Amino acid sequence: MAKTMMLDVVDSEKQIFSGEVEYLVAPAFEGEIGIYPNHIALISKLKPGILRLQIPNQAYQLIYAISGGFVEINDNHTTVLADIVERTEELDEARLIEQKNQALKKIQAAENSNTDFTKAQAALEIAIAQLKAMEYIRNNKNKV
Amino acid sequence: MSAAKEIRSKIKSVQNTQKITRAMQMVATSKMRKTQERMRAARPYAENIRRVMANLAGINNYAKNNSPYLRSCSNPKSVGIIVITSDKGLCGGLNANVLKLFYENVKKFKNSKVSVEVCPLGQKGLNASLRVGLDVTSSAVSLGDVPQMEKLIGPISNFLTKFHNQQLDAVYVVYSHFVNTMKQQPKFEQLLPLSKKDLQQDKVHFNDYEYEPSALEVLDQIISRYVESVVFQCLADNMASEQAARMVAMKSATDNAGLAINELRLVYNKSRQASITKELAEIVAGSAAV
Repeated sequence: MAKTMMLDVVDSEKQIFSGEVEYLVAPAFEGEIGIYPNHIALISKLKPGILRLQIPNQAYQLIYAISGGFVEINDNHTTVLADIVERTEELDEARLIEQKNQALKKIQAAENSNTDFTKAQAALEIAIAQLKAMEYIRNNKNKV
Repeated sequence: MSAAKEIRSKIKSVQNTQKITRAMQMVATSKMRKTQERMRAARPYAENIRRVMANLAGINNYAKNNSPYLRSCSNPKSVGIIVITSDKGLCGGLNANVLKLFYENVKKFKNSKVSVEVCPLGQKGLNASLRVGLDVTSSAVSLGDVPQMEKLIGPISNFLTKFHNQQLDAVYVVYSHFVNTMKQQPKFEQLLPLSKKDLQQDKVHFNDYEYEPSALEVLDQIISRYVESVVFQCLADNMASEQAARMVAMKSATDNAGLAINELRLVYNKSRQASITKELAEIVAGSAAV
């Protein structure tokens, strides 16, 4: 059996995942990182993007869209402190595209106001991350 | 006869009030369960982020000594207070108790010449702060029944930036803690600077973490997330308290309405009997006269 490590994925409202995984891939601050068991102790900021988990003895991966946060690795125990997490099964492409377009519009409208701009930008990043997650699933449907 | 009619309509109106309070009681009961669940669901995040923050601060002295969030201030000049109350009333003494504790502390700060800024979360706290003329620098109202992080981030970040820029020396939060259904305890707690309990670290078996991007930057952001999550927890706690307090208040209102109805009914029956007796007496007197 392959080596495994403990993983907790939490967001501010609930616990998303807790259990053993073979590896995970997270959208770290300076690029995507893969984390296997016995990884060096690390704390990294996360960008909006896709979080992939490989559960032992399963052919498929669990895929979540996250909107930023942190990952901490400490003694073979990984914790993902995400801001907002969504299971990809819960995502709806039409709604996401709509959100993305709205965020784009808001960005154009809010060029003068600083807070509105940041808000709209964050919304856009999240929508793009979730769309990426959907696309990833579509492209890998044959493999998983 | 008119007295009896008046009493009857009075009974009717109390009954209608009782129906409303009973409905509110049942709504609060079902909401209370959900709010308690939400309060529990938010705990893993708060616990994990506290642990990561404590480990980082414990292990990396450079970040610990340079983080503006970890500076200590023995003699505060200005403080910020986050006041968490409900949006709606009809929940017994819940908000009154929180506000009483809040006023006491504001008075204490004012007496020692400390300036106070307030950030009310919830309509009742906002109204009260404005009424007594406190300096409200940010607020959030219409929070609904589900605590939502996005509504809190703005008002909290206002205090966080001010603490970061040394415009505030301490930040406190006051809210109702849910002890059990019958008991809600108003609490006044310090958020910033972080207490020793917040920074209690686990045993670690390594020298230092790797950081992306840098230790200080990561620590600062983790601390601000931590503060947000603590306020979020307090809000969830307050919402559970609100529903519990409302349930109890509405239950006693329903009971009291029942008592009032019983008493009114007694008066009504007495007056009805009195009028029947009077009519009988009149008839008997009339027939005797004939």
